[in-house]
Amino acid sequence: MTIARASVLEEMASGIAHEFNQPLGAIVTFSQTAERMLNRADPMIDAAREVLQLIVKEALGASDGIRRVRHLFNQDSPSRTLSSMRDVVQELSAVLELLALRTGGRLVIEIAAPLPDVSIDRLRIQHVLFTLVQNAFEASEPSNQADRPEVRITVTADRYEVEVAVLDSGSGVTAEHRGRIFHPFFTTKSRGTGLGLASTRAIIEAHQGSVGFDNLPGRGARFWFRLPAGESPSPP
Amino acid sequence: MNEATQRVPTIYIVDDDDSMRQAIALLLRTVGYTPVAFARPTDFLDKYDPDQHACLVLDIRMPQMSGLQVQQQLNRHGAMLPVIFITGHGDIPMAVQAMKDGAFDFLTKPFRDQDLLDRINGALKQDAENRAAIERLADLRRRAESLTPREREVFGLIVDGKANKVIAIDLELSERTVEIHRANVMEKMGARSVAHLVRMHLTLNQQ
Repeated sequence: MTIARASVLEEMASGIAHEFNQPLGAIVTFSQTAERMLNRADPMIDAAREVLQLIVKEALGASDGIRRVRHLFNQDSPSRTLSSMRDVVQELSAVLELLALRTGGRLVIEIAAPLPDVSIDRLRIQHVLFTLVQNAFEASEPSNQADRPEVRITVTADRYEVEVAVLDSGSGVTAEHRGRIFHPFFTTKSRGTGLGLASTRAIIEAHQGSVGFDNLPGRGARFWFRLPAGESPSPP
Repeated sequence: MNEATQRVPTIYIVDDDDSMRQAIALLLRTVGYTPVAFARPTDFLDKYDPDQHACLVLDIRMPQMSGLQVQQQLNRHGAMLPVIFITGHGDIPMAVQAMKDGAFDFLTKPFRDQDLLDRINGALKQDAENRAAIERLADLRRRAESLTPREREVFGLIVDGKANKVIAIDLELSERTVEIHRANVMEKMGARSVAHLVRMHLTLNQQ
């Protein structure tokens, strides 16, 4: 369930691409056909005119597609509850262990006590955590022979904020990528959508939180997000 | 199969998207091809004529049955129809699989019309070559089957590089009789030389 939820954004990206490639493909092929019709020694003017109408219809259809996609994005009003980050992480830990298993890595979770509660949309925050841990395992190549790549999740807090950090043992973020890493569609993976960190930032900012990363001394990177300690959400 | 349907190639199109299917069919008709378009893969598989000189333009992503599944069905039935896949953004892993399964080529939407036409040309050429090779083999088999058992024996010994004199001793025949069998083998097989005959023998035994 949670995994399915975590890939919703990627599904959406693929859906959007399909939504537009389809009409775009048709428009391009129609246009080129019309051009060929007109370039003939005996130009097929009536046929070309009909093809132009098909192009118009296709283009209008695509703009409906845009409306459909925007509707999809606007639909989701966040449903927040006051939650303990400890529960949120533990609830997801079985899924995260699965990620570890898949990459042959090891997951360590350290949760400091006590933690103030945070007012969050649990599924979205779990999506963020899933994304960060998935990235971390993908970034962590085994450092030497027998070593299983280790990913560490730490949850710490003070009176004002709860911080969740994910530490990997990869090669860190290069200076070249630093500025773009949270940009939509930026990816360094051959099969990445470039939406994982972009959606992470959008979700955390919608929670009035902050998100960032540091390279660790030696090797690896540390991606973190901080959420404000919550009071109960004000009733509507 | 009649000669006319053999010569005029059919371009099959299978795409569930009405506009895309219509656009490709229109393009092909405009340049003088004979497209036959299907919205549903199963309709195509029902109507597809293996004896028809053809190629297939196949959308990789369809709800009912994916393009890859269509290709696998064709492969299972021993069809040699060259397949050109139309893929979308992010379908590269599928395209890789398609190529592994023997696809002729793939194009990513949106594509230049000339790229599609070039690939169709290439695919039809390949289909013609496949058909010619199969026809040549069938012809060779027919010829080989027309040999008498004795001629077949002589055929085998000639291919082994044996001279008439040696063959005559092996088969306990007169050299004159071997000469006649040898002439019959060359004639029936349509062989121009012993080397030619050896190549035919290799082709027949490869299958």
